[in-house]
Amino acid sequence: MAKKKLTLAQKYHIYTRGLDWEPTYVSKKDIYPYAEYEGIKIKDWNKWEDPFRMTVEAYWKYQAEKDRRFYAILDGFIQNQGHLTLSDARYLNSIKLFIQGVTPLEYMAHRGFAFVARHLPGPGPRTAAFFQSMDELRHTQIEVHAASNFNKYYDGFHSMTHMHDRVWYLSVPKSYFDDAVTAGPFEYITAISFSFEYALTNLLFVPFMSGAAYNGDTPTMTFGFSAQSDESRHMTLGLQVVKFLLEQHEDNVPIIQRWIDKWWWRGYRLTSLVGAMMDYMLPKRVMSWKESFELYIEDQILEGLFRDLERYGIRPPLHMNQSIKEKEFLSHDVYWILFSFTFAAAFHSWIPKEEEMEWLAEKYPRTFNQYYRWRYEKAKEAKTPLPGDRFYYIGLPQLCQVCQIPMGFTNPDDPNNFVQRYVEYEGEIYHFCSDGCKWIFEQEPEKYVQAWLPVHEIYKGNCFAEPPKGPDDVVPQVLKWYNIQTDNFDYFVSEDYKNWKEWHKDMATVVV
Amino acid sequence: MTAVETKRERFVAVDLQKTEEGYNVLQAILKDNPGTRIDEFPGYYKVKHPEKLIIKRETVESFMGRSWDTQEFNLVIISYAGNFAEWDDEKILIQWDTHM
Repeated sequence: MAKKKLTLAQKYHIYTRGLDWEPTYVSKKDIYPYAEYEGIKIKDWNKWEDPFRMTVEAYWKYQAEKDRRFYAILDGFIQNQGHLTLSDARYLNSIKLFIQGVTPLEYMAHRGFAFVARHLPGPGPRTAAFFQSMDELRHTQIEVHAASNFNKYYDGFHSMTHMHDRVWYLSVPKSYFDDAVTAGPFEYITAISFSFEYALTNLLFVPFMSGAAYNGDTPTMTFGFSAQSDESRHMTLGLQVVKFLLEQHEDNVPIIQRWIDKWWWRGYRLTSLVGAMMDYMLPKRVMSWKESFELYIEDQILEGLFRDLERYGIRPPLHMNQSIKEKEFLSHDVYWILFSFTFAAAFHSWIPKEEEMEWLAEKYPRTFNQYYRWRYEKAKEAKTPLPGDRFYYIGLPQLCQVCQIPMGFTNPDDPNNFVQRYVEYEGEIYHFCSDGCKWIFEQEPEKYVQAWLPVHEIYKGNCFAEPPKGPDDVVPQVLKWYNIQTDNFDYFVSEDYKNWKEWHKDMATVVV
Repeated sequence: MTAVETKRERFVAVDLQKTEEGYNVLQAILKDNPGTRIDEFPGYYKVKHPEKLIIKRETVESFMGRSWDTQEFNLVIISYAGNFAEWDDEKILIQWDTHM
């Protein structure tokens, strides 16, 4: 008689805990030197459960299948000249932001989880972190492969890692992840697996990816959903880690709460870029930032998750109320910032078309017409001597010391003013876009005074390809150092637009 | 302590890919979970239930017309809201810990 197959639970137990051993001639402290300094107390690692019960053999099997499906779709798209069937070439500017801003974070997450997989003393979470490390590397690869097809035809895709380390708006995602990987293993996993993966990645990988599908970009939709299906496992890891730590010792509760408070706001500010992508950069829209926020954050996270966490003594993040108040302002503020400084960006922006402004007014009845529409009407008149028949902000903005976004966030309680906060620390003044970022700075000022702020670095002379020959040569030398070539300025004076018209000249349906 | 004011709803959810397999899993969910609501978006279904969602191997197999391992759920899920309260060879159960 054939031997009975192992159940899922038995297999999981054998292939994770069953492969762990107790060290005899080296102390555990020497093996796991980072396990204690954050103040987290663990009594029993065996209390850890992974609901996905993922084992190595199952992992390879299903990940390989996910990859096969993705590459089949990518090949079909390429062979069919799929890029020509996109809704409009404007759409690709959101994908430029994605590939420059998010893909390098996937790689950093791969590194971060490799660190955690090495340094957590429990075999269960070590295994889960090890899978996640491989997942993140896979995400980097499939995203690069999807983008490399667009790179053959469009600007802005050619230099993602170089730009990620230098360009002003990319210091927003870069500094976010640098903050996480320079924390200890428990803070890192709370920041990324819990705050980012459970709460915020949904906004990027679900409604935005649905938008990609709606605009005809099947490879992006497929890598997005393929990545997010891994994120389901990551979300589970994040939730399990937090619950496990909360159950292990009551002293862990205030530490976890502080991390949740910090990383909610850090991640939320980072995700504001997605708000601008969804509301302004998708020619065909699925849902607004506000609708996504209500569904994925207010329903699923506040009404769902945080009701569950109440019994552990955990409350919703400190600045959640501010995020809710900002939901009708956020995407407009961020797109206006991106629009104003497009002369120094590796993507194009544009004045929304009249029907797009009507959509925005319908989705944001209390804010768009009142506080934002007039800016674009003025922008048509207030011309500058730069390419594109419209306004640019000639100058460099004050950046927030923590999130590094230019300080252009509307105060929802006083919508004709921007929020500006500052702190004096050791004789220097530091500026912040919000109470949330100011609060984060005050918890660890010695960390955030070291921030590499792109605008400051330009003024310090650290961002030129060659020393500028005069005031007019400052921005060109910065752009050269960024490796921005014909990637900047308004969409309607771009190579992308010129090519798009040429490729569609025999078709009646070109969006002009 | 910050009181957070929302007047939103509480549910568990699973976001499924709009594929042939995703459709079969969706049919199985509808059969085994009366009261399930579906929101359709480009590329995906959002499947919601006020209390819990159960996915049974046997029901999925009846729609697929072949054998189906519960771990194949990894190939159709995009995201979810809730906890995986149970995941074994026969079923997957998603619910919050504190019941409504």
